[in-house]
Amino acid sequence: MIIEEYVKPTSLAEAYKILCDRPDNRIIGGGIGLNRAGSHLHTAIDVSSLSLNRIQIGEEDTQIGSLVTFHMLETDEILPEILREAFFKTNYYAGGIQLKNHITVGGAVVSKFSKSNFLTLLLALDAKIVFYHKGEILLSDYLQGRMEKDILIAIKIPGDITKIVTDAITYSKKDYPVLNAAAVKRKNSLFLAIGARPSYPIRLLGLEHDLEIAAKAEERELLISEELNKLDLFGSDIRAGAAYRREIAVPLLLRVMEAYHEG
Amino acid sequence: MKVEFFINEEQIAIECGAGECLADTLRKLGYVSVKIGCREGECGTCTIWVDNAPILSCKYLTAQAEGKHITTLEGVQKEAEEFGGYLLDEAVEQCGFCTPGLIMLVLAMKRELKDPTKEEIQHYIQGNLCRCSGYLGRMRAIEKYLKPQY
Repeated sequence: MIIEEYVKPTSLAEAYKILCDRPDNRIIGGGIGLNRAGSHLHTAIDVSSLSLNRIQIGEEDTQIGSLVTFHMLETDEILPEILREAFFKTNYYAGGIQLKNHITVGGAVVSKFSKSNFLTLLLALDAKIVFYHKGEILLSDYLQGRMEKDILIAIKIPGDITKIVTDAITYSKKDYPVLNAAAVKRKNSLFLAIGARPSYPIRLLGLEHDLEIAAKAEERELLISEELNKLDLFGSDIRAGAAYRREIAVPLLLRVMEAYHEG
Repeated sequence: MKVEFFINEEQIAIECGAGECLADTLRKLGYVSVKIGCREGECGTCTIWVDNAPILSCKYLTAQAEGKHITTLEGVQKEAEEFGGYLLDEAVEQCGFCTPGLIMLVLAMKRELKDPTKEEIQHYIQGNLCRCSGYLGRMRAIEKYLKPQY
């Protein structure tokens, strides 16, 4: 990788100005993108001195700074236990501890890495993301749209969560998922997301209300099948074809809903 | 650009390129325990500590190390030798290329986790890949190394 300049700004305003100066100026975050063969940056912008690695618990939401690492998500006891456990489970095979000290929340979101279990969970958590210039937007809007260059400051996860279920189908434990899903219960409402389709994750809004109240597995299966028939959700990649994903989506979602309704 | 930091508690100042990664810098400075495997963050052979946290030195710019405390295997030789004895007893190593990274990771784990379970150990060291010896012997060595402490 070629980097011509390295800067460590002392304010977000300065970092944003440098970022917008040239198209090949980039925030380096946790450094996962470094050393990718053939890549070239004019200026690498190190934002590690801007206090973006903090977790704050507010009355209505939990705010996680964009430089918080996956390892911090697993270990920082300031995080509500329900979130910490969910992040631990969903990121379990994301890499070793040393890699998890590099992977940042901001990097996982900004890259829109479509095979990420973490991104699907964030979507089900109804997370909002806060940019320096654009301000606060819904993660779902960010994933579907195109955005100009900006600096991700934090993600906000609304409170009142009583249950989180995540699941994924993989060919081996450490492989990328063929399909993943997450369900979150908040104030007796279900938030359901499916990802690795192989495109970015999406919420299954048409199913959420009905699946929340459907008590029997047969009922849920019918609802899921009908909804998936209506939608064109799945694509093909090296791991699976669209038709296969469509088939395994039903048992995956059923599994998630069974765990969701347990207890 | 000029960067100043501490390697194994020795303060140094060097000139490096803006895109130079810390693994390359450390090897140039003679810290050859730092092995470079994949350069993609997958193999874990280049594991060192920055301010006592294990990181991948192929994914860390030397410029980012300004003011930081870097620890390589050369800085923890006594502990490394002790753990190395357990690896030897289990006849774990073949080529040994991944061993420095593994040792740095296990010593970091010992500092971070109190009385880890087998599952916690596996979770912690999953980012250090070995392509010749396998993992069972390593697990035996690690468990025996940690056991006398607790």
